Amino acid sequence: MSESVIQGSNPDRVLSPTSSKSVTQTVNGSHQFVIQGYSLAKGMGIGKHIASDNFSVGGYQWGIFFYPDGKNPEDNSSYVSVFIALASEGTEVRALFELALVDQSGKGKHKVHSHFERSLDGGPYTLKYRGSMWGYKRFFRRSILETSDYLKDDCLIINCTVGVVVSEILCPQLHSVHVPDSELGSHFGVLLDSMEGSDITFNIAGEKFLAHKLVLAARSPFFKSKFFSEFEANNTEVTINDLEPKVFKALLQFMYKDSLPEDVEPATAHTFERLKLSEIYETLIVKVLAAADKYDLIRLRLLCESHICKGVSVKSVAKILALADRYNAKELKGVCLKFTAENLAAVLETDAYQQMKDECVTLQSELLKAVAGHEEGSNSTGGAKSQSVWAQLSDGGGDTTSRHVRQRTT
Amino acid sequence: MGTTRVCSEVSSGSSKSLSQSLTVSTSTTETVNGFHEFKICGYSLAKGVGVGKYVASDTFMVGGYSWAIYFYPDGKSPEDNSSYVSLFIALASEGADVRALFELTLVDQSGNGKHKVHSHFGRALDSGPYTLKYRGSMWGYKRFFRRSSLESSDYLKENSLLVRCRVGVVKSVTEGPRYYNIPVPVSNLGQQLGNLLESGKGCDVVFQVDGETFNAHKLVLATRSPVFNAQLFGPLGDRNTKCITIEDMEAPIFKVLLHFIYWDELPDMQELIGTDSTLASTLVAQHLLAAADRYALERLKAICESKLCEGVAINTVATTLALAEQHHCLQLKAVCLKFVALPENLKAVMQTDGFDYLKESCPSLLTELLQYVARLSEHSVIVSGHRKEIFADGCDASGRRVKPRLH
Repeated sequence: MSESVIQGSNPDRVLSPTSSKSVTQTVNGSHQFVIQGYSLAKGMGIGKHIASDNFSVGGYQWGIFFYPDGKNPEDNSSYVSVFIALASEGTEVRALFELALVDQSGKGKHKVHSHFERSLDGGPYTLKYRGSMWGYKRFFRRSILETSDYLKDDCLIINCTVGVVVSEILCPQLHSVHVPDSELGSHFGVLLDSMEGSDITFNIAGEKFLAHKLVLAARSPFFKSKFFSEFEANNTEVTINDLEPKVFKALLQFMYKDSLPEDVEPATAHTFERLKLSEIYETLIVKVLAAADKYDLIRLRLLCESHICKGVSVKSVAKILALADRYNAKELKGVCLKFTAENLAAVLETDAYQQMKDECVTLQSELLKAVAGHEEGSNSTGGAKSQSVWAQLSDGGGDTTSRHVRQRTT
Repeated sequence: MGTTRVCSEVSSGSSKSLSQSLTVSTSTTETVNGFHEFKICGYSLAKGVGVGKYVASDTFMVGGYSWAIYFYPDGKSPEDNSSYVSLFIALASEGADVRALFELTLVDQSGNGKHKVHSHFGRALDSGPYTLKYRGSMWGYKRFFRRSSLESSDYLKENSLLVRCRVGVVKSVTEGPRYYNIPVPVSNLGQQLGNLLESGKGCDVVFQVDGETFNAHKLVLATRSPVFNAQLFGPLGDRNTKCITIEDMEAPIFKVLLHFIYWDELPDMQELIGTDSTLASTLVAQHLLAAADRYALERLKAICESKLCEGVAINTVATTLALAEQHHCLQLKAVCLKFVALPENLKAVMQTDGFDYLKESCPSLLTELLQYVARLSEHSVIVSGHRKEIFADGCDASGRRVKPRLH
């Protein structure tokens, strides 16, 4: 008869000869909750909240709950509360959480509460049933919040990460060797930074960029035909007149590192709502999208589309649709048409749509097709929009540490 | 005491976190606004109706609720002794905790534009919008205007008063582009470099390995391997090298090495070695590990370690252990030592040719092996004495005694 030894998620732990091993890991997902109209939201009363849309992590639905007047009567509305709630059916769901209030001044001084990357004395948090929450009754003192960099244009941004603990039994096993992630991008990133052995110089609006023909040829059909054709193989300098240096730099970074540069603007609905369409065209991400289209960098184009897609909202979708149409961003265009079809009445009333409809006549008929397609499916369950007018959760009991409040949603 | 039995088969698992993409939702709180104009004719006849008595406007709809304006000619509050007129906006339909912004304007009817305005709109509200708790709740002013002043003012014209009212009902909408993500395909950096290798375009170096030739690109080799970087571009290297002869490596091994340098993954092994036997895979992995160590390809080395760990068996473990020692594969070494140290495995392993090789090439490993055997013997005594689950929280990295915990 063999005994069973169950242990945690440390794969380096020495095991007894009769052991079987349980590998415990987390399935992570992130959600960004943008709260616009804070000054109108506050004063709704203690224990009353605004809820985010639900998002899926680890097979469960989650929601972020923001209490402008706090959750706890004893705090007398001095604090705002933020909680993450289990929004779908589930019992004894174990998870790690991270809540970050975003510093919107660009200084990066976010207020972060996180389980990740720190040792948990009591292990992951357990949510007992639907409606259970984790978070903070005293997330931020309200008077300080209202004069801080976290509040901008009457808007707050909360980033949330949930890591659902999942377990699988591997039986029996002595050990596994951890294989690190691919280093291909970082290796060529080092090459990009050092530019050792470069054999081509790009002149971009007077700024010089060194590069390697081989890497560019491998990564871009445009450059492949340029460098590997017999007529231009011996060139050592190329001048490109219709790109800005920062855009070309982003192209190089992608071709070497396979990622978007860090200085690309964050894409939120608020960003695209605030900017005019002409201003949107001047953002780095849109210029990189245009360049990716020109130089046939398919994955870079998709990275840009995916990035811009995060900014889709009722007020911004018309602008994003216009830019998607201009730069052949097919997936982004499809997303915008679908979103518009599902929120048609609201979108048609926006200023952005009024400005767009004259410029892009062909988009009208495409919209009609999308709506016609949407109407067929309008009987299906679920929608992109949920409206909450002061829905209230009953507080099932006080907890001085603000952890593990037993809570059941109505 | 029962006999302890352990299956020698192993399988690998990943301890990596699985990530999903970011989703976004936005909650927008704003007001739905509506206006109403209330003309009160016959003011002189209305006054004197008594404190708390009012003239009401017709109801009007804003934000899904009905509203009405209430004018109290003699004031609402007894304490004011009819010195003031009162003006209120009331929730006229059913509703609980309706939040709204309000504006009340008494119109200057002389045309001078000096309206008397009380407004929530366009100014900072310390405690947020006003909440009307139920039907009939009101917002307004008991002392809207002193009556004596009103009756001699420009607000009263031809015995009429004109009141304009704005209501902004607070609404909150949360929306998210549900399922509106654009999936980004996994990186194709390796595939594109791999295509470069297969096409042979731009190659500038030829390798002679075990009688076979391989074309490659110096830049890619140097970028991926510090050893190749030094050999091709280092101070002692020859920048003009066109042909390199590799000693002590078999051609198929070098082919896999080259594949990994470009693709960042291994090719299909069955296709490469023509058989799917575990023994053949283990032998290839052993040779490949040595090659990876030689050219400082850390990730390839880890991949080989992982494969050898999966395939650890009686007839190959000693060779693998020696290899792990020679190439400083600490994880793999620990796995092999523990496998060999198991009572039912030790005798069998010691009878293999690999073990003889191990004794000759790495005699210090025998000492470590003995220590593992001793540890396991001690551990086995403790474990076999209990029939309940044992939690490893009390176990440290060196495998010392586990304190059993009873529920």
